[in-house]
Amino acid sequence: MKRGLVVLEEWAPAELRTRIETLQGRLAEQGVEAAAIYGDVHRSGDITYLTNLCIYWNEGLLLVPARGEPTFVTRLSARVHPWMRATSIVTDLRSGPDLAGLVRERLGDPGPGSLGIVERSWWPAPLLRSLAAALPGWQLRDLGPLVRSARLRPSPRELGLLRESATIAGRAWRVGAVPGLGVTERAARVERAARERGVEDVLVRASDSWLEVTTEYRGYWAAVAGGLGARPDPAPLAAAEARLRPGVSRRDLERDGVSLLHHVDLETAGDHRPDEDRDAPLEEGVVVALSAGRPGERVTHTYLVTAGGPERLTETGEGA
Amino acid sequence: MNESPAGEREARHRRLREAMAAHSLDGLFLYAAGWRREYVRYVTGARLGASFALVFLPLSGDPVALVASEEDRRAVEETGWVTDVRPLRPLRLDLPRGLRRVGVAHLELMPEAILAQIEEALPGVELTSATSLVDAVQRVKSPWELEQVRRAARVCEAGWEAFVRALAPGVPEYAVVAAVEHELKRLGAEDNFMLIASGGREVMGMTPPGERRLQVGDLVRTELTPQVNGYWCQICRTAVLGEPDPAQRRSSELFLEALEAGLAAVRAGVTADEVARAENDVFRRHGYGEYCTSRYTRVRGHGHGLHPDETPSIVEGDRTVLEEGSVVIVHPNTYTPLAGYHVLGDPVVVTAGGFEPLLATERKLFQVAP
Repeated sequence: MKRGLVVLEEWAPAELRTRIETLQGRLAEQGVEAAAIYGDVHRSGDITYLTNLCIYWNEGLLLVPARGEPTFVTRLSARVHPWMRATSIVTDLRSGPDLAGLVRERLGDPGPGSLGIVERSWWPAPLLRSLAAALPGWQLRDLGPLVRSARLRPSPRELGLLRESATIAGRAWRVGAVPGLGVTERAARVERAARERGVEDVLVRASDSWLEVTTEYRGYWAAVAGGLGARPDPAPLAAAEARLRPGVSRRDLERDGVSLLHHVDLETAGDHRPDEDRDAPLEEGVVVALSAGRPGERVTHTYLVTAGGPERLTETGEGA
Repeated sequence: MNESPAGEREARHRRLREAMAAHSLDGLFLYAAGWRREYVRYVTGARLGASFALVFLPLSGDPVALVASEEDRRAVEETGWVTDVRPLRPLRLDLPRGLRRVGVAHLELMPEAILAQIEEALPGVELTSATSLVDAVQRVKSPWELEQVRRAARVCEAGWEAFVRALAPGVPEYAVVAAVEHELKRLGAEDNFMLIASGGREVMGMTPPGERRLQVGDLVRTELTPQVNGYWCQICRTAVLGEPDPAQRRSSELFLEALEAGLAAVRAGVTADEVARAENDVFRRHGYGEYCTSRYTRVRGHGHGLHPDETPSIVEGDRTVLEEGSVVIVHPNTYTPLAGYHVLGDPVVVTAGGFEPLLATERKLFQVAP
């Protein structure tokens, strides 16, 4: 759960505003008045990417108008607004039980228009219906994974954060992979090692013989997993790693128990990724996690995909 | 792992079906979003990890679980509470014929992609929210469930002790959380919900941790809520780094009086409103009544169980009757100008004549030598 360090880095506001402006350009192209992005404590990567907001509990949605400042509406109490303003670039925060009503209030009464819904399929259906009721005459247009697509290829600054997340994940894995530890002690050591390095979240799965660590650092996710003890990487992972180049797709790589997740999908283990993701060719500069093996035994590493081949970002030393 | 005794599954399914019958429901969908899995865990006994899961419980006949990952399929099959386990995508329901009215628990969170498929599979069937129905069923815990909450309470106490041990001048808030997480996980907690706030009178509420480093004279407040074998339990306490000043002492006395007043009101048959009113009356009596409003605080307590923030909310106006065997935390947490935000709260089991305290941790302002 998101209970680790949340900060807004000094450099972040300028880059985040650029991301908002880029999205606003896309909205203008598509002829929508605003985009709405839903998030909750389980999945909020798109909203964090645009604003650095951390939805540490409950749910909310970010409204990005084609022109002007974004607004975050949430079921969290208004008492958290000062903290949200201090840790994000959003200044217009609105709280209440009726999210659709808050959206209507924000849009004012400009007459019927078009509201873009990012990843409509995953929105709570009753919330969509209450939005439709609150905005009579408005078209609710599915924008698909518009924000996810923009996140796939990290900027140099983002790549730095992904590298740090991967470094923390690898170190925490090594701390937890000490032979002879009980499962709970193993998980405890990983938690401490990762959180002391400032992660916002860490997901740990451990057994007597296996350990998986997934870290979120400043909104950027990395994963590493493997068996304990000196075991070579399984052949399917090595084979997939050798094929991991710009231009290949998940379909090309996912055979013999290998699976691939973009860094943006690690938050929910790929549960929300679009179907077309399977055939989309990987671009140079994307960061992905490759896994091989059965659940509870798999080996996972996080890689930067370059023209010259993959660069492994997670290091486990001997073992995984 | 699920170590529940024989009969637990049958008792839960029976209670749900009794509630369904009372509300004229022929069937019940229980939906699990990634952050709200409590209903599906209640009927399957399984610890799930994916972003979605669904169970259909008919009024009679076998339930069906629909899961989104291989790990979740294994988890449900391992407990054996639901034996018909299918993939969620694509959704193949094969529901009994003749359904007229079906409830959906957590309908409010169900994605359009899933609800649309259910509606397509059930043409002409009335779908209605059953969230409050299942909340009501889950409020009263079985003896086995109460045992799990008591286990979580032991972990709570240890978590608070770890919190106090971690406090020292110069330590950043997030390192305190790291130390607590280590202890909770070492003791077997599955998860934890935790907020923290450090500083003086300027502190207006609790949040995730920041980089702020602790200073002598700080009040350091936390609510920490470990989850053990599915069940959450919360402790709210405040510590002072160094000697408390007179205002901090006064604040501590005020919150202790309010907590004890709230606890004194707890017994089966009273309403959440009565407990909240007992807490708030203490603030009003001392001239701090305005700090019991939503401008400064959320609730004066709430339920516990497979979700950390179950119903009822202990607030004035909530007429939910506390039932024997339910678990609530009473916490008069709020801001006052005395010493800033202050937290003090204890979870209890509601009994016929009062309550069973779950924590042995002292109700006081803890002092930490710098």
